Amino acid sequence: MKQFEALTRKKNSEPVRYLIVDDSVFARKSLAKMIESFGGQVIGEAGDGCTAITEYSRTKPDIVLMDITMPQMEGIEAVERIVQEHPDARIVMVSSVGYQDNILAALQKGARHFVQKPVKPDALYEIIRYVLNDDGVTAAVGAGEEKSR
Amino acid sequence: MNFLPDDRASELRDLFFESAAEILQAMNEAGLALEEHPADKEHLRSVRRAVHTLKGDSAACGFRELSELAHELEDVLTPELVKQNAGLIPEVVLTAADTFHEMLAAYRNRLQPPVGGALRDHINRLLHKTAAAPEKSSSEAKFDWTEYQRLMIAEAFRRGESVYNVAFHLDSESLLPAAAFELVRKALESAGKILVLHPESVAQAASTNLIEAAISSAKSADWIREHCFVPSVVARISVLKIPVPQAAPRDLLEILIESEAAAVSAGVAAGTPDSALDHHDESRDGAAPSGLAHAAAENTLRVDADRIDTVMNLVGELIIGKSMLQRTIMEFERIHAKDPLRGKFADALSFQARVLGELQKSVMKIRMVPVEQLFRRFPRVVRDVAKMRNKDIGLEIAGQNTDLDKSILDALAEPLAHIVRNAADHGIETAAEREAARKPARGTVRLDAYHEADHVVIEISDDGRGLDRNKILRRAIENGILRTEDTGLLNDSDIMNLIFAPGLSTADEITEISGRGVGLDVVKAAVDNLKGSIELESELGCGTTFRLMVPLTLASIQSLLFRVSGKLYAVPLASVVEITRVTEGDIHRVDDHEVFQLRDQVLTLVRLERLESQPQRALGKRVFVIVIASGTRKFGLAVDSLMGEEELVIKALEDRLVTSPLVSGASILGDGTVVLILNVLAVISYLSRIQPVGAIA
Repeated sequence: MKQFEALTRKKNSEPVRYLIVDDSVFARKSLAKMIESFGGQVIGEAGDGCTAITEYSRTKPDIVLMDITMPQMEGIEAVERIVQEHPDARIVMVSSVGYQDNILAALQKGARHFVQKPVKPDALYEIIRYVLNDDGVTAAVGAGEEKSR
Repeated sequence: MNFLPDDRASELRDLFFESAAEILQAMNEAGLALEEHPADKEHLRSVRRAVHTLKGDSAACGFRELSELAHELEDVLTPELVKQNAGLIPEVVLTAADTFHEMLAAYRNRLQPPVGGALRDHINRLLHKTAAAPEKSSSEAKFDWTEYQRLMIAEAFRRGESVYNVAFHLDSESLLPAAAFELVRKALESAGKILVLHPESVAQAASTNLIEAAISSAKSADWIREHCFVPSVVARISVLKIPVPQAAPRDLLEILIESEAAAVSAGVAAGTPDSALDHHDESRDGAAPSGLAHAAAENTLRVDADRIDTVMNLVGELIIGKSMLQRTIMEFERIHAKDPLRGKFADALSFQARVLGELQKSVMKIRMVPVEQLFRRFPRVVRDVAKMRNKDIGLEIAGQNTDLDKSILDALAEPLAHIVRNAADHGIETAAEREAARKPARGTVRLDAYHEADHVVIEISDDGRGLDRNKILRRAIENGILRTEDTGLLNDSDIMNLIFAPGLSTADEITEISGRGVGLDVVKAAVDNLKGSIELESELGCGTTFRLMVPLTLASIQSLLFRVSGKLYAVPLASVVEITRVTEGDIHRVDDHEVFQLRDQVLTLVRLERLESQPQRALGKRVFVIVIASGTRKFGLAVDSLMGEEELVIKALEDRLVTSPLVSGASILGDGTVVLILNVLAVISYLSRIQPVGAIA
């Protein structure tokens, strides 16, 4: 897999910490692979929205990658609950094609961005860099080349 | 966004709601007309004008959602789209009227407005039908802001902020324009304050890959460019700082002038000053001749009904004052019988009385509105029911010029709508049933209004199946309203009046349109509240007529004063037919009540003192009898003495003071005496309830 220039936390230059939420183990693994190629660290995984909420509170990740359709609690509701409690949570929705309304709803509930399946590493990298870089506690480092395609 | 202080703003809000209601009415009418004559240019124009006005007005009041939706609708009501979808348009217009109505109701109650899904679906359908036509407005950024938007920009300049025009070209590979729009909007929000955004909402974003905005921000153009470049959705971004206009404007007029300057500068930035001007003219053309909300604006003044009420109350106080003066002068005359001042007093008093009378009449006239205001809603109601139930129903309207007090009219709106819906839904049969009964396939609901004495009568009749007495009885017994053994005691009108009992519906199925637990009992309560009454006529198989009788006004009445057992009462003079004297010996008892003969008629006699123990009456004693009529019914009222006529100003009574429905109100005379005013209609219906068949001639 292509290696990217590592995205790190601005504060302490440590790796960016991720929580991956998806009901498919395969999807979680492939996302984890990508994240490692960005120099990130997966600190938690969840297979449904409820677990995502408790995992978020426990691990306080820098980025959440959240699937939109899941059993028990849908991604949108999980977004709403997490953002309610942690307004600066950075959640990126991961969705299959054809869920435009759901994505829109998630964005309106406070998700920061979205990426469509199948996830392209370049796109996800740019998106994460963008989401990190919003004058908050964390920010990306370097890699300005890919900005304007 | 509001430039006005709070109280002005709330006044404007009220005005907005009022004119919006008119706009919706116009939309409803135009929608119905379009159903009859699809693609009629005049009606289409009036719809467009209505939507345009609503858009502008709601934006000015800060009702963003409504304004946006109206804007979206306006965008699809282009002549081309309308031409291609002529069949769909009436439905779209009517749905729009409903949606806007719901949104307005929410705003009025300070709730979150509904999103208007049905209307959005229609809009999308119109858009997508024509999406094939390659009209994806990608082109180049124009920053062609409207007058209102330019005003927003000028305001920002006035606050000393820097303003930027920002254009986003969306990544054409992005399949989610709405989501992209949302992200761009968020990015803009975090970069500064959004003054203008085009498209304005997610729903419109579907049809474009160009987003234009004007924001005010403390950041540099470069920072904004960097910050708003949202990866994977934005392909290209351009940020242009709008040059600060020369002098900082100070008042609204200057802002307006300044906004023109901003327009020009925006036009220069886009290199097409002409298009900006064109747009300007077009929007003005659209608004100016709008015969809807602003019809005859030059000669008409909108006044809050409360203000008129205040004036009316003050006039009432003046009338009381006049009668105080009258009494004082009478006393003066008695004491100084020879004083030459007496004549002058009398002159001054009669002059004052005349002017006061004129004043009162004028104020009353202000409150009067034609019932047409109410009737015009019903074509839509009937049409909806007919469509939903697959019936063919025509609506005939007569007497729409009959005037009625505005507050009464408002209170009647819901009850009437209920009866009309009932008539169309339950009264009129399906075309097949009607033909089987050898009636014309098209059913008719008829509305009529006319004056009768000091009442206004509103009739709602249908030529449908009529009320089935047996069915009513069965339902009443099933619902525990009536005991089986009591059915024999009821006459025909008693049975029909059972339909006003709470919880009784004779429709076999509860339909979405009329059934739902609230029934005619609510209608009856509303009419009772107005001190009015309902009569009902129905012939099985031929139809039903509801007759609502309500007082002309709630404000004041010419009355006849009389005394019974020392207490002062009044009846409306208009319901008095004559006054006669009857000796006690001529009063006879029939069954449980007293009657007397008046020429060739036998009338029931009513005494107000409800004889605890029938006191011994001297047979030779003569009593005054006031003969009172209402509609076809007549009765006599025995009184001790007559006190003359007077204009009474009705004062609202708190419920706990007078609980009897027989009293319609109270008034205060000049000397401070309280008079109770009898509710004639209630007395009659009270009599017919407690007394057996035929009690009242």
